Amino acid sequence: MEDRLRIIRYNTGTDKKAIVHFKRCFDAIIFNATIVAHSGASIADLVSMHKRKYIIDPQTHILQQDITAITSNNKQDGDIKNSVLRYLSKLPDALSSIITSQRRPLTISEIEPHIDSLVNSVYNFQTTYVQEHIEKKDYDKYLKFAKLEPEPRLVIAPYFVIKNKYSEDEIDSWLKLNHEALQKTIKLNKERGNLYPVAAQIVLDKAVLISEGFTFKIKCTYECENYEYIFIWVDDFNTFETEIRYMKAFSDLLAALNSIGKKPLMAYGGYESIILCNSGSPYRLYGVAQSVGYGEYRPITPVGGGMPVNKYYFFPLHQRMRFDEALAILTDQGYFSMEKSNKEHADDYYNYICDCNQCRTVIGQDIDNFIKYNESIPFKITTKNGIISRNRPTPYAELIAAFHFLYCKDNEWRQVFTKTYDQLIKELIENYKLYLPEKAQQIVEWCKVYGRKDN
Amino acid sequence: MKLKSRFTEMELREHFIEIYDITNDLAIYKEVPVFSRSVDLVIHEKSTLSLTAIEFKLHNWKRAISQVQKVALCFDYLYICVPKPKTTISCDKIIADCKLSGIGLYFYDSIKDIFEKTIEGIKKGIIWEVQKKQIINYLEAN
Repeated sequence: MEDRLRIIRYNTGTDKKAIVHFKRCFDAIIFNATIVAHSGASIADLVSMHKRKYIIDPQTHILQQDITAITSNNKQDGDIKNSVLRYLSKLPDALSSIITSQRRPLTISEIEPHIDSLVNSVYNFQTTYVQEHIEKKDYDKYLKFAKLEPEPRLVIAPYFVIKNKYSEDEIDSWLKLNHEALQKTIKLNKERGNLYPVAAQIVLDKAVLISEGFTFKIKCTYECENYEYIFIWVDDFNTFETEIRYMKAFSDLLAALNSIGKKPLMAYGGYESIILCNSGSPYRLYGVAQSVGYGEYRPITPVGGGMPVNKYYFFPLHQRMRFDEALAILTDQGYFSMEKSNKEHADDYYNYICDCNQCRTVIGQDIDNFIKYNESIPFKITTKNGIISRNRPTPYAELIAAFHFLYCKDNEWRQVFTKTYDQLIKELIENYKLYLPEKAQQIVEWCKVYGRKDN
Repeated sequence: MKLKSRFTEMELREHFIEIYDITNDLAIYKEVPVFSRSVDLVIHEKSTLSLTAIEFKLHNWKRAISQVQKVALCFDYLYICVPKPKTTISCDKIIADCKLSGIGLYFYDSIKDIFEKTIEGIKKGIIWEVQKKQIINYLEAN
């Protein structure tokens, strides 16, 4: 069980309640550096009181981002977000000042001369920033006395995105810089007494995966000693949904990293990643980070979130869907028919769909209570077609959906630890054939790519 | 009043309401939020407690079918309303798809300025009464 890292991602203050409730279901909590820079004191409280192992994603890709990705209104002339400004102030001035004063991304030749200071500042931020906030707290002396001080679970080296628009030479240069940043982080960590495991992070556009020779380049870049983990973040990527060529390319990437003895972790992932943490998987992942109730897959350049809608995680399909989509499946399966009593339908639901604590609390003995997952408030918005009404989930509905989602995740991890890979694959295909036949073929293709070769 | 030669989806709906024979037993509601969507028009027949959803589209009738199907579980009848195409082939295609999906169809004939109920909507077999009741509660409160 220790061979896999179950990581929960903290995105906003509203995630706290769910994270606290499920803290024992995860091995570490991960924060973006900008959130830590902005809310250091409350992060210090959270990790001190609830989850002692934390990870900070150093988000050095910010240095490569267009200004619109870091302004509060996503416009060229908008103000840079406070959280980004605070984090930039912790990075070398020679780099951050280009962003703040010239409002443009940095080039590789601008970053390269300052890589030592960048490695230092990123390492220091990850290892001391939260601690500094804890030291200002009254409870610090008790944590020290009880030897319960929170600490980084691992430290991530500075990393840069490999974008599809880059030429081959540019890709080589960024990979070289990634390699250098990793080597220097390993060296620095050694000088500081090897207190924390070091991790690399590979961030790339999906199309780069299929570029010729890329896997070999990755292997060469990351084949070095004294570190174990590699986070992978492919832009808005879900292997259950993507084309077969990307599925295959991603499996090649995992095989390459496995072959050099590294343990890949998905920085954003759903069940398609969790299942690969099973020890029988031919393409091994060793951990997955996921958010509370959303964000299993995320674009590198942030986009607007759209209007919130009621969602429900359909456990047998391991897929989050709109409430009405889940409802349609349950209706097709006869869960609201008159042939059985509502209690009998509720029992069927627990037997075949989900028997998590949240569903038992919400549904009780009456399947019609499933509607609580759809509790919503109507609101009006102005569009080009005039004023229209929409529903948005109530805070209660959001909370129970998030709790249900996290119970499902806990259940998935338990299944991945206790069932064989073949069993997991078989159940996955069977469930898609039963509940979502129109997507079953895609899942069968996935299983062909990620299945065991001896089957 | 007849619609102008170029009209919007909203104008089509308003014209439908203008012409529609609203008896005392019927109540009409615009932009009713259902799930994560907004239904263009809902007709509530009070004596039978039946609910009808109508989606209006100027061009993409397939999208109208798909949209109205997304709220199918809460309504007794589903309809789409689109301008009548100029060719018989196009008309037949829409009619065939609506029939196949059990969805009623109104064609707006801009020359005659009438809404032809080309296909009668079929009463749906499966409705989730709990959700339907919530919609009726919303309508009665608005």
